[in-house]
Amino acid sequence: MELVVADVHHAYDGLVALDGVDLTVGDGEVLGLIGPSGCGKSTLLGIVGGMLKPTRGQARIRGELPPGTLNPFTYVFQDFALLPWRTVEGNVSLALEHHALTAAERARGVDEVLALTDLTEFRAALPKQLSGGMRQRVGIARALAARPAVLLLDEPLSALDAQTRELLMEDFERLWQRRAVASVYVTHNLDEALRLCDRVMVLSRRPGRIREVVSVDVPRAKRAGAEGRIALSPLRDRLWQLIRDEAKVAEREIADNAG
Amino acid sequence: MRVETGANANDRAVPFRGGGFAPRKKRGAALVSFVLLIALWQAVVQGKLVNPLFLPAPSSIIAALYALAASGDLWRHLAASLYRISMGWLLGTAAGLAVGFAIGLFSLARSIGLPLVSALFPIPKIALLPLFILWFGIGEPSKVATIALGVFFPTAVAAFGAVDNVSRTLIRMAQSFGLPAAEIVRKVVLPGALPGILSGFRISASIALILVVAAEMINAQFGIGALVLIAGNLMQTDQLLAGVVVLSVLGLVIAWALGLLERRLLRWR
Repeated sequence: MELVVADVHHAYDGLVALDGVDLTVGDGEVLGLIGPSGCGKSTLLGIVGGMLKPTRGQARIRGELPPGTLNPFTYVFQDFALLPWRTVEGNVSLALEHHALTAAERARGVDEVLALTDLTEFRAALPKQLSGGMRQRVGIARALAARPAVLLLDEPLSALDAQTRELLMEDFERLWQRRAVASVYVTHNLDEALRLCDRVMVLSRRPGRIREVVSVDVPRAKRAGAEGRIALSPLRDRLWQLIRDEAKVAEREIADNAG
Repeated sequence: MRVETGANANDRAVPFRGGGFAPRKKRGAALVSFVLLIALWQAVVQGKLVNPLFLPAPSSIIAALYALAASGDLWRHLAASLYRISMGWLLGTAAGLAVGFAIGLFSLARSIGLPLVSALFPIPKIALLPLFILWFGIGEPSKVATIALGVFFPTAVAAFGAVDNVSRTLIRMAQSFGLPAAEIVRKVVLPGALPGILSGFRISASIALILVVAAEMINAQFGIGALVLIAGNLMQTDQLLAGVVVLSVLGLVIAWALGLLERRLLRWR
């Protein structure tokens, strides 16, 4: 199975946000999307997941969906998007309630992802009783419960503090090791992209076009330590070089538009 | 400026500046002030500082209330008012919720409904009672219709606002998981809008209470509004104020019941 995005353009009221973006994400591959503010990363993610209709082009799945897939394109949201009136278990089961599953199958599905994300003992808690990191783990558990073919992560760690971010990155590493899911990972954070992604696609400032795709050849398991950071540092420099000037211009454009 | 000094004159404690602007409830203060006010009122009347015909003593009001309850009149008046309030409130709330949700969810309903509701909302509903008497007759329907109309508008506006305020991210999340539209309304929009709807209930319940009294004062044999009006005409100010006390208790009971409902349904907040 492969996710294919072909020649995607998108404009909001005549303002071109994306211009001719092509990408493929292979089975189990994690593709990072980075770029300056307003470059269309989230727009692209919206198009890939069918939440936005592109002005031109399309996103397709090539090949058979993994067996048991319930929701082929499933998001993990930046602000968690949990229903505050539902418990952890209720939030996770939301992903399954409208599918033709027996109560036992549904319960098994929920139990499995709660165990996978170490949330079993918090199943009866309400979101307000959880830390930011735990809430995002509920968001991840809910996404996994839908057995996605492609996981779409929209800056999943940006609302969290540095320590929690670090812990959740470890969670992601473990998760992808246990259950490889093709993923598109949008982030502002270069270190996050290099730590978690197999390839990183750099978008230009608006209109978003692909500037470069950088492969991260260091094995994921070795990226967290000091050695890994040293090995990744040339790639980090390269990515920063690609983004820096564009980010400065984009910032100025945003300020000008606001004024 | 006097400051606490340490070993030398340049070693000073940082002065605290963060006090105040944090009002808190003082336990029992409300009860004490309430009792004091009633005691003062009683003393003023007993000391003949005011004519008890114009301001009867609290003890006289309690006696009048007891007499009304013992004769059964109080319950007849109360039952008539409660029937009108509950019928009018239920009808107005049902219609208001339906219209508010439609305006909040559908473009066509919003385009048509919002200007209409905004234009008709400010009309004082009691002014329409004579028209309703012509339409529905002199009996119960005209009073119930007045209350229902008065309840309808704030409920519709509250429901529309509450639906509009439901986080779009939550709705998009539900869509992204493939939930059908009806399930999104049931599982996301309705619970998300509940706090706003319940706030609207507080407003609509007090409007219902005001309108039932007004409607009963214009035309009714029974009802707390009628009791107050008749007592006023007969200069029975103790009975008049007994009716006012009943209304006040009724308002408090409604507010308490709604508070209970909020605590039950919004435990997640």
